[in-house]
Formats: sequence, C-alpha cells, structure tokens
Amino acid sequence: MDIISIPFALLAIVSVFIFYLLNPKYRTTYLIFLSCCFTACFNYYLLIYVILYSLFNYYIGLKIAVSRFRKTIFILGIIVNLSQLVILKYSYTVSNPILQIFNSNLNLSKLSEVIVPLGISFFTLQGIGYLINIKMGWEKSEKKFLNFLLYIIFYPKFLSGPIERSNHFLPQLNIIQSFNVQQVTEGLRTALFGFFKKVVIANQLCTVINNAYSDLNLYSGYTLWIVIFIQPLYLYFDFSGYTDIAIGLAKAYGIELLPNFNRPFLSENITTFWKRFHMSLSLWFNDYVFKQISFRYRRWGNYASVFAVLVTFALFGIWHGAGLNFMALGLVQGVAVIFEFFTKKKRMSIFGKIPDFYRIWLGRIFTYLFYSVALIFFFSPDFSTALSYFPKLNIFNHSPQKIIFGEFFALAILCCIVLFIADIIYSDFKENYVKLENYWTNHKFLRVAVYYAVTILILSLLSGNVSFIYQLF
Amino acid sequence: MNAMTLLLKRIFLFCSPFLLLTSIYIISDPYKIIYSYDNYNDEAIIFKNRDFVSTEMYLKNSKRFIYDSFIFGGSTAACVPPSIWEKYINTSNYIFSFDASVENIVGIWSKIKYIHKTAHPIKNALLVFDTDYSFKKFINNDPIYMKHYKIYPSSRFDFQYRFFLNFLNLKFLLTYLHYKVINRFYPYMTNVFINSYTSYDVVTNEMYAYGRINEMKEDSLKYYEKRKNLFELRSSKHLEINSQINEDQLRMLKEIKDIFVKDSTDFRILITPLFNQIAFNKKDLSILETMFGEKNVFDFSGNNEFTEKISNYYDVFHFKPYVGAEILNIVYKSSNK
Repeated sequence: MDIISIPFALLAIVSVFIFYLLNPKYRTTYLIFLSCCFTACFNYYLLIYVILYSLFNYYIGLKIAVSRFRKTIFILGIIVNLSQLVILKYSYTVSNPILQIFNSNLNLSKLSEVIVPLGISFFTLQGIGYLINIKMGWEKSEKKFLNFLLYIIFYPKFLSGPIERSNHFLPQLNIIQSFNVQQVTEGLRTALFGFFKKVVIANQLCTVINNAYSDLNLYSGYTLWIVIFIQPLYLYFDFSGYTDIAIGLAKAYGIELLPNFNRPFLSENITTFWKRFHMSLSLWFNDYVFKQISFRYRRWGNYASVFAVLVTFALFGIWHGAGLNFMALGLVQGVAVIFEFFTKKKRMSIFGKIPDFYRIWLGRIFTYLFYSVALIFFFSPDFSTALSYFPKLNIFNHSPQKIIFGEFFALAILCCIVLFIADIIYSDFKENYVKLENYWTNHKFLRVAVYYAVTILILSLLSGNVSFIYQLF
Repeated sequence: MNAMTLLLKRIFLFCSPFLLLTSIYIISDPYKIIYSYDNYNDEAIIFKNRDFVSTEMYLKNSKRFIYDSFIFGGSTAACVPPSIWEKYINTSNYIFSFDASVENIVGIWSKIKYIHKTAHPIKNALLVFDTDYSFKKFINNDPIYMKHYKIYPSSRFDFQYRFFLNFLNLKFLLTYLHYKVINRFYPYMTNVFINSYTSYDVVTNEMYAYGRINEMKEDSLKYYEKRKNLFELRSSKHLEINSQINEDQLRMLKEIKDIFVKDSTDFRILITPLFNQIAFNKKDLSILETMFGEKNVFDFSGNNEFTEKISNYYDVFHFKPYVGAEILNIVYKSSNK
C-alpha cells in the first residue's frame, strides 16, 4: 500500500481509534496484524521472510542469554544477519560476482526478485543491534515473540525507519496506554506535517533532480549548480516527511520512535551535521561500529579514531548501496569529519576572531554546500556519472535543454524558506519562538486555517505522487 | 471514552468540507467513470479517459451491434476513421474505432485478446502505431492514459482513486466548481478544460473534431499562426528513434498474430507520419515485418510526401482525413497487387 495516499491515511486514523477501543492485552497482536497486512500489500513472501527473520533473531537472542557458547551463537547470528542482507540486497553487485568466481551458476538475484527485500537495510540493523545489546549485557533478551516481531515489523517504521533500538522500543510495549487526546492529536498532526513535507515540497523538487540525472549532457553548468543546491532539500524533505509520518502514527498508538532529524541544515560543521541528519542511522553506526572499533584499537591513539571514522563512514555509505558512488559518499563524509577533528584548534584560533553571528552562518553555509556537492555521489546512478558531473559544472556556454521545474516548484521553495526561517527562530531566537508558539496556541482560527491550507495543498498535489527515496534501502 | 468521542467529532468536523467535495464528485461524476452512460459526448470540455470511453462504448454496444472490424491505436488512429476505412474492407457488419489516447501495444494487445475471447472473430483489423509511444514502456498510472480495468488486468479501485485525486487538484476543482455554478466558459478555463469541441459517433466511436475543423474553415492561416510554437523546427537530417520493442512486447505481438491467424483476420499495420519526421526504428520495423509479413506493414514515418507539408496536419501528431485516405489507398492498393 502506498503510504502517501488517502486510503492509507484514513485506514491509519481508523486503526488508531480501534487500537484504544481494544482490550490492552490484544493491542500488540492488533499492531502485528496491521503490520502484517501492510507488509503483505507489498509482497506475501516478504511477510513470511520477515516473520522467519524475526523468529531467528528472537531465538538467537534467547540462546545468547543462557548458552555456554554465547560468543559462537552471537557470531552465528551476526553472520546470518549480514549474509541475508548481502544475498538479498547486494546480490547483483556482491554475491553473484563472488559466485561466478567459483564457477557457480546460482543466481541469487532471483531470490531478491521473489522476496522483494523492502526495508531490509532497516530491519537488519535493528536485528543486529538487538543481538549486540544482548551479547554486551546492555539489555535482557525479549521473552515474548510477539513483542519482538512487532519491534521488527511495526508498520509505520518498517520501510524507511527510524532505525529503532530494541531497548528503547520493547519496554514501551509493556506499558498499558490509555487514550490521551493530546498525544493522539499531536501524533496525527506530526503525520499530517510529514505528508505535507513529502507531497508539497519533496515531490515538487524531485522533478528537477530526476530530469537532470536522466541525462547530464543536456544541461548547462547553471542548471547543474541549481540541482546541487536543491539535492539536500529534496532528500531532507522526502526522508523527514516519511519519518514524521512514522513518528506521528507511532505516537498516536502511544509508541515513541527515535528522532531522525534535528534541524540538520543549521549545523555549523559536518561532524555536527551527522549528529542531526538521519540520526537513528548515524547513532547506530556510532554505537555499534565507531565506538567498538575505536575502543578495540585504543592503543593507536588518535589514529584509532581516524581508522574508526573511515570504516564507519565507508560502511555507512555501503549501507545505502553497493556501488562505488555510495562508498565515495561515505568516505568523503569520513574525511571531512577527520579533517574537522584534526584542525579543530587551528580553526578555533582563526574563526574565533570572527563575531559569533558570522562564524555560525559561515559554518552553516559551508556545511550545506559541502553536503550538497557530496550528494552528487548519492543521486548519480553510478560512480562514473558522479565523476562526470564535476567537469560539467564549468560549462556555461553551450545551449542546453531547459530543465523542467514543475508547476509547483516555486511553492515548494517558498515552503522550504518558511520552514527554514521557523527553524532559525527556534534555534537562534528562542524567546521569539516562544512568543510565536503562544500566539499559535491561543489562536484557534489561525490553527484551523493552517491545517485546512495544509490539507488542501496535500490533496491537491497528491495526484503527482512519487515514491520515497529511502524506500529503496 | 468521552475524550475519544470528542476527538472523533473534531476530526469529522474538520473533514466535513472534504466529505462534501467527495459527495459532489460522486454525484456529478465529472470524468464519466462512475456511472454508465449511453453518450459520452456530454460535457465535452472535461477531458475523459479515451480508453475508458472506447471500452465502455464497446462493452455496451457489442450487445446490440455485431462488430467484426476494428481500428486500434492512439489518437492518430482517429485520422484513419471508420468512415474512410470501410471503403477498403469487406464487411457487412459494424466497424468500431477502438482507439485510446497515447495507446500502447499493451492496450492494443489486451483489447484484441478481450475481443477474441468474448466476441465474434475479428474479420478486419487496422493497427495504427506511432513512432513515439506505441512501444514505449507502459506505466498504468496516469488517469488520462490508464487502461480500462475490465480489459487490461488492473485495479478498479486504483483507477477510480487516481481520477478522484485528479478531481481534488485545486486548479481543476476551482475551475470545475466555477463552471458548474456559472455554467459559462471563461478564457482562463482553457488551462484545465478542452476548448475545442469534439464528439464521437455513438455506434462506430468515430471522432469528429468539429472545433478544429471549423476553426480551420474560418481562417486556416490564423489556425497555423496561433499554433506556430507547437510545430517545432525539424532537422533536415534523417532521424530515427531508438529500438523500443522488448521481450514482453514481442510476446504480445506474437499473441496478436496468433489471434489474427485463428480468426483469418484481414489486417494491416501502419506506422503514422508524424510531423517531427523522426523515423520508426529499422530494427523494430523488421521485427513487425517478419512477424506480420512485409505486405501487411506500412511505414509512413520519417521524411516523405505526407510529413513534408504543415498543411497536412492539425497538430504535430494528427494529420487530416484526406491524408488518412491517401495512406489507406496506398496500403490497400499495394496489398491487393
């Protein structure tokens, strides 16, 4: 089922009310039922696969807690988790070429065509995170399979996260939720805002990027520069739109999901940026990869951190896809973080002399520009296309094809600007933000008018629906 | 429980204008897809899904008339209409123009299969292909071009839902409501509505583009002057479109051929002369010729006497009926030799 659709929105709202009408002991089963239906809408085999995957990790989790061979079982669990990811997600680029080396005729990509591994990158990290937590003693293994299954398959977050932590998600299932108007309203409001971000902003920006990457040769340097500046906005509003829908719906059911974005474009450097963009993923890599590597190689001093950063970001890139372009995307971020780490004192001494306001804004603009350019590796279909993008940025003199901006591109940009100003007020002018918030709370008519405007815009632009980028992962 | 009822009431109140709109949509059925009609020519200013209209007409009429001759293709198939084609074929029954906007081979294949399964044998068939889109990758998601769910295996709900979304488009909705209330056509409405009157024969489904014919009759120079931006500049070079026919389409062509063989259909395939003079791909052409026989396939795309003159066209796709007649003359003369 398409998440950005009226049927989904209506069914989700109805399901929230049914949830609270049910006896609390049936609520987990009910959410599992909804999630199973949601998954089955995409592919029945995927549903069966996810249930088997959950069963495996649940069982391994129980065994790690009690067995004498906990290390062996843990390693087995991690190997199986990674193998299924490689087989189903990276079959074309990794498993098939490896099999060919051994003259095997086995075509694993056929398997991924049958199962259609949607959301696999997200639920695999959740499965691995759970096993590590158990192994490290950070969490007790889950005794109820249904709770664990819901942790993996919970439908609002199944396709594109946020990547939940078992020790954050599972304990919430043992709390009996009573109907709370404020919580449900807030959840639905967040979801509505998510729909707005996706339909009114991201979908309108998408046309430009899709057009440009369909054939870079057709466009001039000016156009390609515009595309560069739009890329982060598109990615952010597409992904954070989905996240808001997921977080909002979960909240309406009384479940808090981890946040995924915290005004990333107000970050003053790349290191901070990655603490505020796709937070659930970067924190996962920080806790389970970066910290483990830097701890293991702590004898190396600063080089342990450098090594850990590079490995973490390389894996971070590969998580998005097996192509060289994704690895380059990760490594470029890693190099920037290392650069910032080693030049911190120097930069402080140079930029410390500049007034705060200018220093902060210089940092924000530079961070945005850096990320914009790096995203060429994300949007390019392959590494060579990404590399070919850079020389084209200098070609201004040939008569290029005009890029299609779409009918509502200007509206989308206007919305970006309004939301960005709101973020700046929240971040830099707290007092004014409180005043605005009070004004908003005390003016019901304004609120209703804005909700109507938002809903009308969503419904009006819904016909040109485009799927989520992160649904591919 | 009270809190829940209160919230439900608030949500209901908030949604009530949208429920009203939904009711208006269901009652007025602007795209004529909810209810069944005898005549789809009413409210011609609102675009209709041509595939849906043709199919509905066929499903309804085939109970009353015996159709054994069919024209399949996109809107350019309307340039070789039943009234011209009937002179070249041998039938005592009715002809039906089973065209659809931007018709794809998927649409033609599903229609032929449906007719073969449910009706009389196809005695005569004219397949009208376009260089641009007959073999393009088909995605069944645009309301104007979506296929009728009764013939092309697809979701009825999805079909209706996409039209409903189209109705909710603010631009369409406001224009439509304005038009419904005032019942008058304003110039700004041309952005949303069709400003040229067209009607369809209720038996043969033949198109009569009265709007443009009258405009042309009034002042043909002005007609072209108004549209000079639409008639793009053409290159004098020979341009050929990339090969498009894929495995799936090959299978469909094969199935069409088998049906024609079973029904002993007298058929012709013609590739229309488009004003852009881009030629149909040679490899694809030879596939068609091998599959259906050289004597049955006629390519009028590229640089030729038909595509040379702007006066042969209403727009870059649609040529005038006399061109259609000349083309059919060539097609049937050379086949009968």
